[in-house]
Amino acid sequence: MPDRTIVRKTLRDLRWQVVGWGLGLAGLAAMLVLLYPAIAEQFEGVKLENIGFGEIGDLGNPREFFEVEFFTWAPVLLTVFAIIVGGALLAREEGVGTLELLLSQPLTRRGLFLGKAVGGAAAVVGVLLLAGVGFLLTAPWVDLKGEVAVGELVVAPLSLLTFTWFVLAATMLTATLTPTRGRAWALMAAAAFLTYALHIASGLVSSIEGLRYLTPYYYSDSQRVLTEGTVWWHQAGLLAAALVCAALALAAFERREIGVGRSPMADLFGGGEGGDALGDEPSDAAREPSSVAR
Amino acid sequence: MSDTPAIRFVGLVKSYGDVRALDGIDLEVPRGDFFGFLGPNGAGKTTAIRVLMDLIRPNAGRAEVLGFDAQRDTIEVRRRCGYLPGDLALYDSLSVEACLDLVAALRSGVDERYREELVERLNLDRTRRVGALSRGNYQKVGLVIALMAKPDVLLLDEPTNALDPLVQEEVEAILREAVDEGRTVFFSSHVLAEVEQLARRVAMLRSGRIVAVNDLAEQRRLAPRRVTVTFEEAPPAGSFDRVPGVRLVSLEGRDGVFETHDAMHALIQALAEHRVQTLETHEITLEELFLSYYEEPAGAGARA
Repeated sequence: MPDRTIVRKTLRDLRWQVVGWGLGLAGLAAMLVLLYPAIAEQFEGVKLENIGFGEIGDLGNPREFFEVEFFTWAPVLLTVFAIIVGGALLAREEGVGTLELLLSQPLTRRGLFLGKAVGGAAAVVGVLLLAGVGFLLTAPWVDLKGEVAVGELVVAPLSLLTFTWFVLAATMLTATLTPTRGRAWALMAAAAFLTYALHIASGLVSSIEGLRYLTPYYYSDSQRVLTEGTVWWHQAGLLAAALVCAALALAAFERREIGVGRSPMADLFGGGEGGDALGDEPSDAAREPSSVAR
Repeated sequence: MSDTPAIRFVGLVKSYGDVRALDGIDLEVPRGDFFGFLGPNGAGKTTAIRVLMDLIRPNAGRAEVLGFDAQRDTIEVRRRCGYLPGDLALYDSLSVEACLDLVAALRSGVDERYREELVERLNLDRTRRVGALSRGNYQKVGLVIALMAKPDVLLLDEPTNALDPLVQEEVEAILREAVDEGRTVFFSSHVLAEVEQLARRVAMLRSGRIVAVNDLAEQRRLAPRRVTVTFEEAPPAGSFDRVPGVRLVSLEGRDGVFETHDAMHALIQALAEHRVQTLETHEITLEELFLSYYEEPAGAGARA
């Protein structure tokens, strides 16, 4: 069971990030809603296809407009959010040493991990709900030509929930398998960039079209959520992948040596020790106390 | 259960790659003891304590607290231990009060009266942000966290680090009270004077091995005497090689240093064959004993 104190503390720690990212997405949504009438007038009847971000149809249609302008970028922004939060949940605490404070209390590693994971997952929900508020506050005041209901726009960001949870869990897994948070962030950022590039390229080049199925962005459904709806097995697949990543991360965390900058994989593959190349955390095998004054 | 030692290490080995931080430690600390874990930086003191808290896992052997296996019965161990890490890290954005509240919540409650008493005695401003505290006040918060649940065993890694002498005295008094109440204090230090002043027993650690375990009262009783002599003329080499019960520590020119436990008479007889200018005698201090262990090659083994 997740430790309730840890869940509360995690939510408290993440509150400003949730507010910041949530309001950022809400602001983007609100701005696009307010811009929509002008853009709809400009692109009335103009058909655009395959100009780089998947198949774009009629920008005058609010469903297609918001898919292109909001739901193409939202997964990218949420990827960054999930990588930052996923790295901060446990790896940052380990890097600055506060994980030692928590783990010296009567608390299992499982309870701590689940508390952090639940807190992180709840933070994602908070960001997506705030994003929906951006639509809620502006859409009723704009002519959407009766094409899309305000309620549909408000709940549409929640289609990105399982995708963001997956990135969050994958980052937690990477952070528990690598010696330091910096390395986890670097690996996840590289993976995100490559998979997003593949997602875009596979939409443009028919010979590699099949590769789109290898990227989580395809399964996020975000670019189809308003025109085709959510594919439930995609969502179920992402949820399952997130749970598998979280389970593996928990297993790795249970085996992890705290505060020595050492991967649980080190004993299997050798090495894995040493300081962070990105320089954010010390690695001191013996962890003798420092005499450096604060 | 009451005969179970507070802390027990059995053949504890911990390696980091090629570096052997702990090389087969065997040690028992009885309940109610005030035990010093002494050694230079890098000797393995912190590693041993972190194994007890299950922050790191041994490669071989086991560590126990009050009979509970540190790796298998983690919760039971942590419930009974108060821990002060050597590299203490707290949540800098929280106030002192909020930081203590967090730990109290994780422990499902602590002795509130004792917590308040500790805050008062250590003169902590509970409204201040932890990140704005001086190193000494930061350390005080760590001590309150370790102590406030009145745990049976206190594991303190360099507890008086960064504390001024007055606060050190108060901390020492608090720790003595804990021992008087039957609780066990196990603390590491590389400050000999501190260990000599506080501990009843001390284990000396070198390169991951325990080289000695001493009862300080017993050591004082059994300690050899060191005799420093200045001769009027340098005695010939080999003059003191065969004095039974006497160890020649050094003989350089007119100055000689000898150690003897119960053969003072034989030493005086041997010295009487030469003209002695000055003679001083004193007990071997913990510092001299400590240094004697660390001057010897590694692997010499425990002597007590």
